Amino acid sequence: MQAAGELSLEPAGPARARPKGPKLGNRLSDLVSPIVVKEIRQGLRTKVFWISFGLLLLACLVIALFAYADQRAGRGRTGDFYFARFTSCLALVQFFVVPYAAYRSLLKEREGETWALLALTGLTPRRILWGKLGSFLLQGLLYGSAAAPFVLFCYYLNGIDLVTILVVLGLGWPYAAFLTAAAIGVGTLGASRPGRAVAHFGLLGFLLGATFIGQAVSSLLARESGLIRERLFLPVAAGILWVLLSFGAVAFENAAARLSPPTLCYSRGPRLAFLFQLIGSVALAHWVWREEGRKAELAAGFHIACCALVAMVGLHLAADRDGRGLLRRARPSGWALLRPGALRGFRLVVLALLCSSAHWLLALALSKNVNDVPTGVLLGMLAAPCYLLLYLSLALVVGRIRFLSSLTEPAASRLAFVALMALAAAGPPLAAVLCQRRPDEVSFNHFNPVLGLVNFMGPGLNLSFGGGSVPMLLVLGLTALSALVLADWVLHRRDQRTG
Amino acid sequence: MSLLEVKGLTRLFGRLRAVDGVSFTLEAGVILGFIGPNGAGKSTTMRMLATLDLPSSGEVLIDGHSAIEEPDRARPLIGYMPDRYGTYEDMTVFEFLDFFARAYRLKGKERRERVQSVMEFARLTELKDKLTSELSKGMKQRVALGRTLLHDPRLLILDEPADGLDPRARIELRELLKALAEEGKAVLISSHILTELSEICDACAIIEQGKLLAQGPVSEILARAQGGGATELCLRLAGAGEESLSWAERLLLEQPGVSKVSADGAGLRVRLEPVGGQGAPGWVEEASARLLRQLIDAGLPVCSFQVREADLEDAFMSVTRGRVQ
Repeated sequence: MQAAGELSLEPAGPARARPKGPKLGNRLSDLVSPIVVKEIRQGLRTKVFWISFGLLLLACLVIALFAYADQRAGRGRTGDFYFARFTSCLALVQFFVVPYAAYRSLLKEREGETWALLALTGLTPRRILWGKLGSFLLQGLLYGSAAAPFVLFCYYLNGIDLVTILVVLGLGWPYAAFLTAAAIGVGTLGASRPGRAVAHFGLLGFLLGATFIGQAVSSLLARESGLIRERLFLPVAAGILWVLLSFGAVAFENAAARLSPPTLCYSRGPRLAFLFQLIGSVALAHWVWREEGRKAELAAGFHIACCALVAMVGLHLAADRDGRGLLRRARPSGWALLRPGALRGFRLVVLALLCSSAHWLLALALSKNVNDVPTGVLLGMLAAPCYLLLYLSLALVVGRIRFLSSLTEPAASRLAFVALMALAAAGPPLAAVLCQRRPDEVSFNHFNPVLGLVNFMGPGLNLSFGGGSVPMLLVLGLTALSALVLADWVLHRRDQRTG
Repeated sequence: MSLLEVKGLTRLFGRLRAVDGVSFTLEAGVILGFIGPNGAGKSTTMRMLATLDLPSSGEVLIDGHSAIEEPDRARPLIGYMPDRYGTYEDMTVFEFLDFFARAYRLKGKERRERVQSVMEFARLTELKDKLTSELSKGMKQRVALGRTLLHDPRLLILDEPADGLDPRARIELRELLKALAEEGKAVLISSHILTELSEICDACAIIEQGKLLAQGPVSEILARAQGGGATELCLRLAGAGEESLSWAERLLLEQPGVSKVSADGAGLRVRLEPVGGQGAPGWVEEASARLLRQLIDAGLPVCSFQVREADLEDAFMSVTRGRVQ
């Protein structure tokens, strides 16, 4: 039996053999995130990388040979045609293979228990995920390098200008980054095997759809290069980039939060990302609204879109666990809105919704005489946040009912929200039809978040008490307020008990 | 001050008390065996000590730093090895250790030398260019142990490190752990292979249904398992039939200090207790010599006569009741 060697805690003396390696490479690698070094090492060892790289190169080569043959035969196909083909091949790799590989990498980390070991090194989940995102984008660049000479070749075939090439590639990169961030986000979903399987198939469908859209848009921009010079192109492109950036940030921060050990303040990142997204979206929408002549209908549309955004993103924050404060001795107050816990998440979402609603109502009031605003617009703008508050509050209460306790609290609340919204949207029209009334009958659809809102915005109601719209709005508002108070009370009690 | 102090640690999963008011201390240079049946709460306790989970109540102090309030200060002091080794299959041994050394913010020369030193200690130098997927379980386990040592932690928390290892790998692990304890590291090791633990542990803690049932130096736990100084003797008679055995049984029961005699295969098992409570030092030897003389004087053909030493298995069986949550 060989004795265990001595573990020298001091740096080894000169006699100890030092491992040989490229000195410059070692120094450079010290500057890079360890996760990037690891992922690149692992990535370059996978069959997927080399097969995808080889196939991309081969496909580009075949297309280039066809292009050459066409040119020799004088068939007249120009650079835009071949550029669309090259970008289609590249899109398949950038929008499908790279994000899917990032997802698999994170999943392996979670399933192999290496995630806990990484967390113990002092690397925060956000740093680890940044490293993963960065390394897979670097892999994307490596794939891009395979296609780059061929893309340049298109330029020399004429029929496409450099601006179009740069715009398509410039839009493709943030799209790839968004898809990779989203895939990493999906990789953090599902605590159980069936949950992960659902997430897996969902991601495959999403990436396939996203790849198809990416290929279609890049082909369209390549073939119709005039689109880039349209007046609307810049604001639309800016809007799309904003959506990609903000949703990518939200997906990324939520992923980091899900992977955080409970001893870290996991809620700060997602909540700041939510506020960043909401404030940015409101600001961008306000700018567009001002540029388009401050139309009341547009303000109502943007307001409802903001409510939908709060519902979609805010639901994740409000459906947090009860009272998982970071420091048990110094339990955070109910108004420390960035700290963990459903109570604080819910209050943040409610405040954000109220601020967004107040902004649009105030903007409308300051821009025009309130009497000029169509009644339906005003009613719709007041009703939309009431519906959201009502169903969000109810979902948080229902999600904590004992018969759902087999689900985790966040999942139960999210599921309850979707179920309640679906029930409230589909139930009343069905009941109306059964009673041989019109499906959009006002009396049936008072609490319907879809048809109710449509009815409020329609021409049938007016602001007078006699017309019935104000009492209806008051009833809706009071119901939403009651649900809000009930949800806050329930969450506050549970926060006290489990904090 | 102890290197590790655990006070009233409790972890609730809904209504289930997975860990229930566990308290113990661990000094530097000591190997503490954490023993319990499956589902007793060992891994949950260890995850909380490693700052990977938050207790419902209680406190964990590592060198005076709270693992709950100041996990960032406690983590550098901890080397944690989960029950699954957690290696990357597509990395070589060197790349794996190098990656974790980078993650622990070791840079340049310091990192290379540290990795080299750990590889030498865990005898991994010859395996450095092998993919971890090509390693045997014992080798993987050494790689995982090497990883826990990279940042020179003072407290090692090893969850079932010997599980599934062949005898040779177990002996190697034992040697490595002893060497680490000699260097002043505190080692908390869980296992249900009790014979392994009894050979390497200085102290042990027995846990069942989340509750700590016994703790202290191994010798104290064994003494307690023997029931306040009682001991057992095993004897065999050459070519003895049932008649000889029942005669021996009757004879033994007449002797002072013999509280119970039971059949043990072809021999007898004798429970010996000190007369009048606690026995004086050396009473076991004196009493057993007296018994042996009586048996021989009576003409019984004694061919084997030995004091049966209690081991951790006895302690474990006497303390626990086989309950699971």
